[in-house]
Amino acid sequence: MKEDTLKKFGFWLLNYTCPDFLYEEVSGDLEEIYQSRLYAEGKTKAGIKLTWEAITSIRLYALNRKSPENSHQQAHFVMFNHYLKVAFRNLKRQASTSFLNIGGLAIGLVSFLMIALFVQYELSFDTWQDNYEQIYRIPMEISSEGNTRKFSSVAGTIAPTLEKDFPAVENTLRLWQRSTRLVKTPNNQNFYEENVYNAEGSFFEFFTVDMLDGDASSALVNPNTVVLSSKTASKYFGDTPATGQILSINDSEYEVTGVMEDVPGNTHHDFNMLLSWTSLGDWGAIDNWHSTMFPTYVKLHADADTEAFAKGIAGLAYEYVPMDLEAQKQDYKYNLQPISEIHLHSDYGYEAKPNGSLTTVYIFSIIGLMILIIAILNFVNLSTARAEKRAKEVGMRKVMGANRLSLIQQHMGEALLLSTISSLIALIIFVITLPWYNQLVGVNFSPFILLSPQIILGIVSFSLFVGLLAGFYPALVLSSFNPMGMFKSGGKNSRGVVLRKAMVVGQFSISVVLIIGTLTVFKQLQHMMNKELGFETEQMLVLPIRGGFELEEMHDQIKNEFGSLAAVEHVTLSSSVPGQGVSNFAIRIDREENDMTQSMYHLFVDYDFDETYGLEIIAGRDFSADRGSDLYGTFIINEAAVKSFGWSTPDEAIGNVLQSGAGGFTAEIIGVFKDFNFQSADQETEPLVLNIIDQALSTITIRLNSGDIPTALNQVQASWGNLFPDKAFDYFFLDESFNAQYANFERTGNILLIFSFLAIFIACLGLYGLATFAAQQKTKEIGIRKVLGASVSSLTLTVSKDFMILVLVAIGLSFPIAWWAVENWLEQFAYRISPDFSLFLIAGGIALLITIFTVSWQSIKSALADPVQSLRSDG
Amino acid sequence: MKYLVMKGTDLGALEELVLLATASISDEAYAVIIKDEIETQSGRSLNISSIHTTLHRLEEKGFLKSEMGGATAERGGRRKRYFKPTNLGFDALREARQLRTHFWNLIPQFQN
Repeated sequence: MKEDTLKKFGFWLLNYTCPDFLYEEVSGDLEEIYQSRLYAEGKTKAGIKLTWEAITSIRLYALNRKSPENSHQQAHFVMFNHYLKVAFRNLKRQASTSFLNIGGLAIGLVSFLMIALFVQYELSFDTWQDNYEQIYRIPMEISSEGNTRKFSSVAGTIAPTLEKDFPAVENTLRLWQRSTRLVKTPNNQNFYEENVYNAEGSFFEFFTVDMLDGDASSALVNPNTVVLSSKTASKYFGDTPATGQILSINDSEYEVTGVMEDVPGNTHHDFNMLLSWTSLGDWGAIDNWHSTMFPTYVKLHADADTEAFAKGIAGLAYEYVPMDLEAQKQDYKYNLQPISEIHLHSDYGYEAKPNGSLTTVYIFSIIGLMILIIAILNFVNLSTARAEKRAKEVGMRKVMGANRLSLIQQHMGEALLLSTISSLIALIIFVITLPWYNQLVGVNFSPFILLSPQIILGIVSFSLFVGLLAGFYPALVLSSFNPMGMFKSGGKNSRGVVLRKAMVVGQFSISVVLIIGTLTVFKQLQHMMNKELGFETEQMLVLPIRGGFELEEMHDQIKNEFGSLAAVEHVTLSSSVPGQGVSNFAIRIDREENDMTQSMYHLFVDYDFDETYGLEIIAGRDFSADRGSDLYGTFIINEAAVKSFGWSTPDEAIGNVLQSGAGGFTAEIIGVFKDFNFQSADQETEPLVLNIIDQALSTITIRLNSGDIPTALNQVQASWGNLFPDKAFDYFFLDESFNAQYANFERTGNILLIFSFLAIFIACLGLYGLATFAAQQKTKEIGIRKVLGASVSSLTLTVSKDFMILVLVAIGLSFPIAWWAVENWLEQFAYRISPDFSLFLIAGGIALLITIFTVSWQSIKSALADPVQSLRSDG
Repeated sequence: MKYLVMKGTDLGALEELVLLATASISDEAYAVIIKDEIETQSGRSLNISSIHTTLHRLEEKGFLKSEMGGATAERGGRRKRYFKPTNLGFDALREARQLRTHFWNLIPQFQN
């Protein structure tokens, strides 16, 4: 910058920063110092220092201005002080409406900030990885007979094939999620660890977390090595270094080769522990083209042609899958899914972590905006109403010679002051309530997020915008009136009234929509939780057996031990239970004309499973312990599987032979059971086969017969201690764990509940304020009516009537909007309610009740007032 | 002897320094000169606006008096404000020094 410009800028600034009565000496001093610096330090430095000194001269305002020659130059400061004084007097005089005004805006702003944080968090999923735009997941769709199933994971063969065939691929990554592991630390502590994965060495190029200890490029190379997240490492080892330690994980020994930074929560997997991929050895399942077990990722070169690549991989199966897909009317299609789209856009089954819902994000954004709009409308509305009470003050100022500009400045300034105070209060409320909000949404937001530049800028511009908006009416309209009109008693103008009524209607429409939305979310939740799942869920106690154990020896022992308890009706063992992960394996049918391989869910069970779970056999027979051949040799399948193989009736399925990819055994279908929902009520039932394989059993399910759960639990725990003296007793109830799947919806419902409550609350604040003003304006009218013999109830009606009409209009407007919104939200559920009109009526009723309560409080108060008082006052 | 000072007449550290500097410059002491003086004597670098506030505050307290004058070309023809300590100002300095000496005498390490 040129020396002159900087110097000029400095002195221009000084005009504003230095009080007038000091300007001469201060500017002289600065000039002198500037000149002496000019030669010693050069133009630029001197200019910068001058500017800094000009800025810091603002502190001179702290001086008492009673110094000599300052006299009349300070008029605008006097006025400023005066305005400030008047503003605070008004705040005090109308204390209750001031409180409503400021409080309502603050609550609105806090709600908006919190919702914005949540929305931003949801949108930020999987965008923290370096070059996340180049990272894609490969999911697949399997179709047969017009029935398409979508899998988020694919066969282990995909990654190496892509790397070999497509030059666009820079790198690939395969993961395999393990079930809960039993981890023993060197000092013999036991932990059940979830979120354990086998991961290839390329992990750190996809999920770019820093290694806190160990080397990212070599940590996952050798078999039986493990990398811990920093959280996990400190859980096991505290402050001592984890690297080099030996962990026993499900009875295999692993060496800790590194500790990585915790993977951020906004990732579609949680990683507590990474086992090296090579630990899997030469496992046949990895090479099976039909499995869908391994989440697979590719990183494409920055300049790669993504579309061409996507087209190239779509039909990969036709080249490689060792089966004639076309002849079997089967289709395997591989897709390319940007990693950042997984959380909100994926509709593939079997994600490790429940995905977010784009609809929910939209709904929340809309709610956030709505609440903000309600709060702003409220603020503007109340400010306007408050300003009208000051018509006389404005008139007096005009008579005393105030010009329009100074009136506008005064009112704009006052509104700005209020909105700024609101914002500050909002920040305080935000910090105080954040921990509680974190608990509600299950995310850990830091209060320091307020210090980010976007938020500071946002809040400042919000205060400005709202302040100006709220100051606009009083500033421009009041200042334009003829002062004569303002002194006339009751000379109210009706200019603002239509606008204010429109605002009340707007606020209440929004509130009613929110109430309807909240009620609908909870009803849908209830609906899903109460759904007939097709199996017993009541009093089903599940005991997972973690870590290795000799099942063949223990099997009978377990059944006898638990079966002998008085509280126990049935005991069964299975590989998993409904609502928990069920494995997916390839399954092949040999038929003369139409042999096909499909991927299907396998549940390995023992003889009592069907009985314990209350499954209904609709064709063929159940497993029978009396026939030794049922072990390994037989399948019972569900109706969905029947359909998937193309049989028209369950009976057709009986007698067919299937070959399972899980170990390659063949078995005959002996029965078909009625579909039961083994995943989640918001999904269609997938094909499932049951098979008796005793090595795979790892979970005990106990059906209790008594209502006395605590006693039953004690008995069960004692038996557990006899059977597994070295394993901790860990249990859950089937219905609870099944319903835990809906935690996401429940969370949505709770958040919605709170924010719709806040929205209504803010709207009521506004209504209350307006009713107060209306009652005050009608003080004389009420007084005269009372003198003439009107009853309290008819007076109350007089004041309330107008508001009732407004709210009724609002309710009418809200219904179609709510219908549309609710219908849209419900579409995402396979098993859903339809919009319920009775909920609409309830919501409308709630709004109306709240209105009556809010308005009549004020109306009754004024109706009860002594008419002598109100008529004597000079309205 | 009591060394507690009446409220409103106490001297802050910077105020004392500025007052001392003003007193030590025999005449025509104004902000720039005072700033230079303090900077050369103490090696501390100061912002001119803090000198301005301090000088005016000292004047409010009655420790300094001032008059305008001495416009020069290098100041763009603007006048300076000259400051002079009042008797009250000298008293305040003396009092501050006595307070200090008193404490010095109380420190065992400094007594031979």
